[in-house]
Order: sequence, then C-alpha cells, then structure tokens
Amino acid sequence: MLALNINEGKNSASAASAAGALYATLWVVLLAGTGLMAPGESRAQDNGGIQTSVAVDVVGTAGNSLSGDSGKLQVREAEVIFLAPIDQTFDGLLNFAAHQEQDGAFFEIHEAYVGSSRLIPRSRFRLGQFFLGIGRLNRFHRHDWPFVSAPKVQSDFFDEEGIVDSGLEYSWLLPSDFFLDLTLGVTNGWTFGHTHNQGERPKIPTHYARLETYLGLPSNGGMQLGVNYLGRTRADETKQAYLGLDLTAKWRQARRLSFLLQSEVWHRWLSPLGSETEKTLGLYVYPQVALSDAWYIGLRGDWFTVMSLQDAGGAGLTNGTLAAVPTLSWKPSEFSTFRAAYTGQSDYVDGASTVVHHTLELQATFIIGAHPAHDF
Amino acid sequence: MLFGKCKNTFAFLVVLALASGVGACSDDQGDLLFLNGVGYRVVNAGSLAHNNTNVTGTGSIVFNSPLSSIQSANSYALSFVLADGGSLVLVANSKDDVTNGAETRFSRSGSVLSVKFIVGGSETDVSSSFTSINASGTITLQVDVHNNESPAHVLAWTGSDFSEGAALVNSEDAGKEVPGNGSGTYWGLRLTDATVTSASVGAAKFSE
Repeated sequence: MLALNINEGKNSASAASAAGALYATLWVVLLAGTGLMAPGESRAQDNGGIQTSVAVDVVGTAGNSLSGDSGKLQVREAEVIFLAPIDQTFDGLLNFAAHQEQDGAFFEIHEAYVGSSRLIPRSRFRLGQFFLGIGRLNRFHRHDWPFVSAPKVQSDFFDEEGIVDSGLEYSWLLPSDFFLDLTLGVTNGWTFGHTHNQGERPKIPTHYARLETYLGLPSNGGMQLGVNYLGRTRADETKQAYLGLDLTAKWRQARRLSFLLQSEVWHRWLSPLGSETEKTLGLYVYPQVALSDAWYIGLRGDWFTVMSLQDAGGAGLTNGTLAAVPTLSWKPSEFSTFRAAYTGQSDYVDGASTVVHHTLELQATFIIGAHPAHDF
Repeated sequence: MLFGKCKNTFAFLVVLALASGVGACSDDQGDLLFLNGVGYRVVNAGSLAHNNTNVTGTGSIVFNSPLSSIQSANSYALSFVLADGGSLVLVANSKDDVTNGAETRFSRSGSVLSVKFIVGGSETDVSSSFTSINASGTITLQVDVHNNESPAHVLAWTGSDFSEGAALVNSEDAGKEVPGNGSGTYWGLRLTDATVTSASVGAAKFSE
C-alpha cells in the first residue's frame, strides 16, 4: 500500500506552498518531456514536501502471447506521481498514467485521493480513486510486482493490473497483542476492471474487507497473511463475490531479499440473474531466490479452474489452466529492474489440452524521483 | 504460534474448497449430433434437418462443449445461407436452452442483410455496417463476442484481417453498443429458414 506519511517529521507545507510547488513540478516534468531540459534536470525536487516520481514500464513480448500484442516492444505504462502532505492532518496523492491501447497511448488519472493516518487514533483512510486495498497484487502497481505479467487468476478476476475505483477505504489497527489490521472499503462499483466508459449504477456497490496479520519468522524472516472478501451486484443483477487468501514471506540478509514467497488463492461466485452460479478457483505461487545482491530467479506456478463447468448434456467437465513462469530479474538498484520471463501455459478440458501458449517477455522498469515506499 | 497460523490457513483453504463444491448435473438434453465434427444438441427440433455437413430449417441448437466461463471472450466462425425472410441468431454466453445470451441476429430481405445485437428485451440495429454483404449468397463471418467486458463487446469480419480497423462492425462505436451481457457458458444458434454449413468457436481474434 502506498505510504502517505513519508514526510512525517518535516514541517508540513501550507496548501498555498504545496500548490505552488505542484505547478513548479508540473513545469519541470513538461519541460523535460519536450526536451527543453536535460534528462538529469527532470529529477524530483523537494519543494515544501512534495515528492514527485516518474515510473516507466517497458515490455517486449514474443511467441503466441496471451494478450495478443506479440512481437512488439512497447511502453506498457508510464506514470507520474505527486505525493505530499496537504496540511497537518491530511496527505494527498495524484497519479497520472499512460498505458498502451490498440490505437495508441491512453492517458488517464490512475489514482487521486486524500487520506490521513493522524485524524483518528489507530486508523487511516483514503477518499478518492485508488487501487482497492485487497489481496497482494491488487495493492501494488504493476511495475512493482516481482514478475512481468498477471497470473490468470488475477487477470480473470481483477483485470491485467487490478481494480481501481472511487470510494472510501478505512483501516483500523486492532488493539490486540499481535499485529492485526482490518480494512473496510466501499466504492462506486459502476465499473469493475479496465474500461473507458462510465459503466452503470450497480444494484449494490463494490464493498470489500481485508484482515491482515504479520508473523516474524526465524532467520530475519517475516510473513504477511491476509484474508479478503469483495462483493458487488451489477446493474443487470449479476452478483459477484470473491473470497481470497494472500501470503507474502520474505527473508532478508542486509539489503538483499534472499528469499521471497508470494501466493494468492481466490474463489469467485458469479451469479447472473436467472442462471446457474459459476464457481471458479484460482491461485498462483511464486518462490524467488537471490543469486546475488542484484540477480534473482523465481518460478511462478498458476492454476485456474471453473468448478461448475458442464457440457450441454449436463456432464461435469474437469478443466483448467496450468502455467509455469520462470523469471530472471536483475535489480541494480531500487530504481531499475530488468527481467526476462517465459510463460508456458496450457488450457485443458476433460484431460485434453486445448490451447498451449509459449511466451517470452522482456521487461525494463525504472523510477525517476522519490517513489513512495510500500509496506511489507 | 506459527503452527497455529498455518493450521488456520489450511482450514481456510479446506473450507474454501468445500464451500464451492461442484454444481449438480442437470437433465440430459437430446442426442449428440455433429456439424463438421462439432458436437451439438437440439433444443427446439422445429423443422430442422441434420447431416454431418449442415443443419437446415427452423429450430434451435446448443453446442455441446461449453465456453471456458461466463466472462469469457470467444470468436465464432459461421458460414450460412438464408432463405428470403429467413434469419440466423448467434447466441453467445447463453444458458443450455439458448436463452439469456448475447445475441447477434442476421436476417435477410431480398439481398439486404439486417443485423441486430439483442440482449434481454433490448436491441441495437447495426445493419448499416453490413451493406457490403449480399444476403442472397453464402454468408461467411467471424464474430468476436467479448463477454468479459461490460457490456459485451462484439466485432465481426469477413476476411482474414482481424484488426479493429478491418471489422465490419465494432460495438464500441457510438450507437452500436450491445445492450448488455450474456449470462451463461453455452453457445448456440436459432435458425429460421436457414442453412448452416459451418459453425465453430475459438479464442477471440481481437484483444485490447
């Protein structure tokens, strides 16, 4: 989750000075973009507390790609992020993103919200547009993932990156003798996933909950566990319900992430009006080891099945998708990452493989400026 | 402490799996027939006549193999002939009785082909996109129905260029929207004085 309070301890900027700095920063970014400034001058500047960063995600794909954009190297996304204290109580974040569509780059507001961790004891909230605070991948921008592309369970349930919506999210650190954090959220729910239309007013808006805990593990390890629920009833009265578990375990030696284990399992109930409920289960598991301070290798395994699938004669069908995604990463620093990944994916129905995908992906991500810190 | 957490996690996964279960089987439909090797069942026999290379007449059929899921994107290859006044409806993402689907209806009046997107009681007329097709001959189309978008996204082509620009119709264009989504995992055809010589489904030809 994006940290809003990274400037705590500094003098809070007034709204006026923050606005002035925002304009100044916008000019810096615009000038840099038009080539009127040398690249080095586009670095973020701390003008009264504003943190500015640019994150770029370049991806090249070869093979019979799942996304249909094989044989191209393209800027998948470019983001400009502004983050600052608004006053002594509130923080604000604005994130513009451009991403590739079939007919060119599409520029939009990715996230824009006001929040605070200082208004209510043991609490924090966000109001505006944001990635919903559920699961693991959904809480991170794609350029911060440990692999290149979304596992099938993520892309089928929550789109290629995650669910962004506008609403209110409230988190409460429970007064227990161990870490227990509860997040509740309600968002418009007019849309669910990537779209360029305004959607339709849902019967029941998107609502979600996440209960998260943390366990210390031997040898400088730690594990974050989350239990998640999300529900929504669309305008056409189709009910969507999701239940999920996410797990992230890390072991560090100094600054090196010596071992990472990240996994999510999600179950979806999809109930269109007048039709049978479709029950779907999917998961991914991604272990990654450090080869050195900068080199990492991991292997992601994906599995996905529609449990309620039957043929037109009423016979149940075993079916699913299996994928293996070995990924090699080179991280010279926190601000640049280069990856190579292969995806071998097979769809099967009743024991027979129906579609096989072989995809090679190359990725370069870099961050210029003060990228906000993530939680665990 | 750690063991307790792991146990709870395991219990959650077991509950998750048990709670979902597998849906009960419904009653069998009619006998399994084949059209160029693609299995289907008759929903409404009407006046349909069948052999291994075509289905002709009036009635409705559902294809035996389901789509991968309700919110899936698929591409349908169709080849058919319409009698004057006849029609063919491609019903995507329907129930197994070929209802509650995202429908694309092709109907013939002389040499003019009329096309409508229909969901529930709502319809959108997109006939103006099909004026280049002579409805009195064999009509061969590739139709993408992306029911994983809301509303469903439909594109149709006549050739082998499956780009957005080459599509005869793209329901993302203004005034050509599909009025909703299908709500099932089956697909089928409703024929009225029509002959279908080829019908198959595969992966969507176009992706965003």
